[in-house]
Amino acid sequence: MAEILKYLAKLPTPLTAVTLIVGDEGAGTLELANLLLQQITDYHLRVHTATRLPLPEDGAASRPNFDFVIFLLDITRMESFKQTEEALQYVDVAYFHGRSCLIVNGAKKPDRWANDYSIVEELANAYNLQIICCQLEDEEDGAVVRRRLTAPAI
Amino acid sequence: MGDLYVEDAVEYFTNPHSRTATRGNVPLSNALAAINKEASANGLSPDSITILLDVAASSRFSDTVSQKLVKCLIPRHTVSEDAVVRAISWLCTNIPSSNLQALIVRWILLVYDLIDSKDRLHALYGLIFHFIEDDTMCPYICHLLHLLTRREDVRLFRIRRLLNLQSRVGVQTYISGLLSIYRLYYPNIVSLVMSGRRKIFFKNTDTAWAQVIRKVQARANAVQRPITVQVPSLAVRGTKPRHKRAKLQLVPSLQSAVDQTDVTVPTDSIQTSISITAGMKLEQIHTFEDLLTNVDRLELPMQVAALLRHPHLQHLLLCSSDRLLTTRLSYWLHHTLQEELILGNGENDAVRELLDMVVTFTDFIQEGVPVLDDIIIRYLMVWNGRDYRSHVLQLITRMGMMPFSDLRECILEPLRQIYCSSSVYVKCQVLYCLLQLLTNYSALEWVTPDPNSNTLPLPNTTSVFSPKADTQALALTTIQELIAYIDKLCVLGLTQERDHAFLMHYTLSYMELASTLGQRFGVPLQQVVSAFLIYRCVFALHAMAVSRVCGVICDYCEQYRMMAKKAGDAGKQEGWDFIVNTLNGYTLDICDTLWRSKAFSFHLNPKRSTMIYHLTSADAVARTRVANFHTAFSLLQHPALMGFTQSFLKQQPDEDRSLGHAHKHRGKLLTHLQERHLQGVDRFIHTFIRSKD
Repeated sequence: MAEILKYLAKLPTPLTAVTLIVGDEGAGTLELANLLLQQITDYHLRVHTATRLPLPEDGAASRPNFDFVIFLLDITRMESFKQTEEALQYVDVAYFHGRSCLIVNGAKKPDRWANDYSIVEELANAYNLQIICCQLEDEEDGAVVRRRLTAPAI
Repeated sequence: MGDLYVEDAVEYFTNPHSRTATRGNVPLSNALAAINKEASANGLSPDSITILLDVAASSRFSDTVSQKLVKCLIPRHTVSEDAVVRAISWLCTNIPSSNLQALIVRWILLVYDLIDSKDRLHALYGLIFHFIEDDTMCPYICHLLHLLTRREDVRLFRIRRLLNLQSRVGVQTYISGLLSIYRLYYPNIVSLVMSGRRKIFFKNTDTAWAQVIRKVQARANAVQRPITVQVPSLAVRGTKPRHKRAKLQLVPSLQSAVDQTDVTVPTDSIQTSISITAGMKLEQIHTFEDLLTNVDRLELPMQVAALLRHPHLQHLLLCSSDRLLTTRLSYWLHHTLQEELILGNGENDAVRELLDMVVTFTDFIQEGVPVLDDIIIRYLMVWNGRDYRSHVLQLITRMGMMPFSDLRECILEPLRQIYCSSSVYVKCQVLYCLLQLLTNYSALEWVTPDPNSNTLPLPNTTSVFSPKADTQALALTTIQELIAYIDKLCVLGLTQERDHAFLMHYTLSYMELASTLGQRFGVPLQQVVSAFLIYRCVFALHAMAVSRVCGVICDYCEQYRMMAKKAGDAGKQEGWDFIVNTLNGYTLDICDTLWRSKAFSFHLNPKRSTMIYHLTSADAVARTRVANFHTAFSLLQHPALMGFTQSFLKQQPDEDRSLGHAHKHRGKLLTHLQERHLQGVDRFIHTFIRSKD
């Protein structure tokens, strides 16, 4: 059994939010990371990206504790959905208590959806994930996602 | 070689002596290029279009050239009906290849709204219908027929032929689309089973082409629109000359189905009622008086959506008992919004204008349109919380009654997700929207049952759109559950935003609404605002919150008294004990805190269990290490009211200026607060504290 991504396996850094974006290549992981880093926040924001989970063994020592996991899937490709579904199995249950969300990229082009929206909804419900639908390449939409992701939580 | 002028290029195509060979024919390619350039820049005039379409459809040149020509036919303003009619007649000759034929029909579909009149085209309905046998053209022909169909076109033999076709090629969306419009007109002769959610029947295959046409039209209209001062008139929408309106608008302009020649202009001579049989043109209606005098002679517009533009015609819709009208409108709204909201990309002005009209329309008829609920529910699934926000929220407030489980699933949960991850302003908007929804539900859907009759009362309003199943029974449960849900949202929001004043205002609006639902709409009292919100406001730092929360308790008290009086001997309602206990708890605590300086005094009377006793423990209060916590929130020392107390003390004579002396002037302080619009505290004290003097 591969290593599960544990919450608080290491001590968190004060005043810092460390985010992990999990999304396969082409889903827009890097775009999203760049987008998030543009936001001015009153805490220090660090973004890590991964194409799949579990994370590799080497380098585990230097990896910080992740406060938030963003799952990114491109609804126009079936492959992307499958990869996200797989990645979700390697995540500590503590993350599903409001420490993760699911971003559905390509939501504004229903004619190009590879699978029905209900499958995505089912997946999100199964893991208690909040869905944010967007079109990342659209600038204004990107700004909305950026603001929603970095909004101060309770 | 210089560029040819368009006139020359058109001349080339019409000249019977021109070489028609495609290969190595430089003049031909030059002419084609010139036309293409002009068309994509400025569009073509109606005359050029008529000529070129004729050339293309006659297949005098090779197929590729003809197809290129058709692609270039981008109208500057309008397309003459003549051109379209001629094209159809060419289609009948079988001279153009089937691909070219299909392309021409596709072109007609694209420019359909720009054709200047459709009567002659409509006269060819039967002829066009025959083309459905052609497999290449069938989807487009069905779409064209769908646009053209009027009531008199629905014939049994046509339906039979369509069903035959369907059995040959299988169930195709375009055939179902055409059948569905037939069914709209004659539901009794078309029996057709459709899936619950309506689908998109006709795919837009030529989006790029349509885009070009839209762009050219926009440019042409921008150039043509003269800069003049608009003279305000009663009929603002729908009376401007047709060609001057931007054709980009989604809502079609008003155009009566009555032909110009049929119109008898009323003269001064006496006319018998029989002679006035011809309809009155809608364009002639300018004032409400016009509408009243001609109401029985009006012909409805060809495109029902034009109603949205015309405020007077909406009266007509309300009066007419024609179900067909509302069904057609619903159908159009569903199709257009589906296309623009759900399949569209990002915000644009045309849709915003349409939504504006829809919102005004729902305001006018004072009820929601059921078909809009479907669309909004689907849109909320993928909504990003920004596009058309104010419109979407306004339409949500007009939602029809539904069981609370559905409401939560389809509306509240998506809204909650937006609410939690948005700024305080969006939170306020969402809360406001839900409060409006609650008000509408209470005002329109809930009808106070008559105690003397056993049957459920009829709704006091009649519905323009088809009334849904009996919603009375579930109205009360939904309203109560909705109140509880909004309560939770407020708690969440206040915690998240650290009591932001804006959000506080909307939370208090919620509490005020919840506490007066009984007086205003007769909704029975079944629950009270949660303790969390009450105490958060009592100990808040805003004077507004302290004052208004006191007012809320007073409202509850009045509502309870009213309900108790009405119930009288009929006996107590279930759950009243709980409500009374809760309200008493709130009242005692607020009295203790503000007036008697005994806040958190658990030790004084351990038997009396107030709400605050349950919520906090003596230990927790002690641990805050605040000295004098009993008096810290009294009227004179409450942090929220401190400023007012100070300004009050300054007005007093010197010897009374200290806080110690001020105790005896509390009555005056209340008046002072009232003068500053903080009536709540005064009202509360006068309701619940019996004065000794």
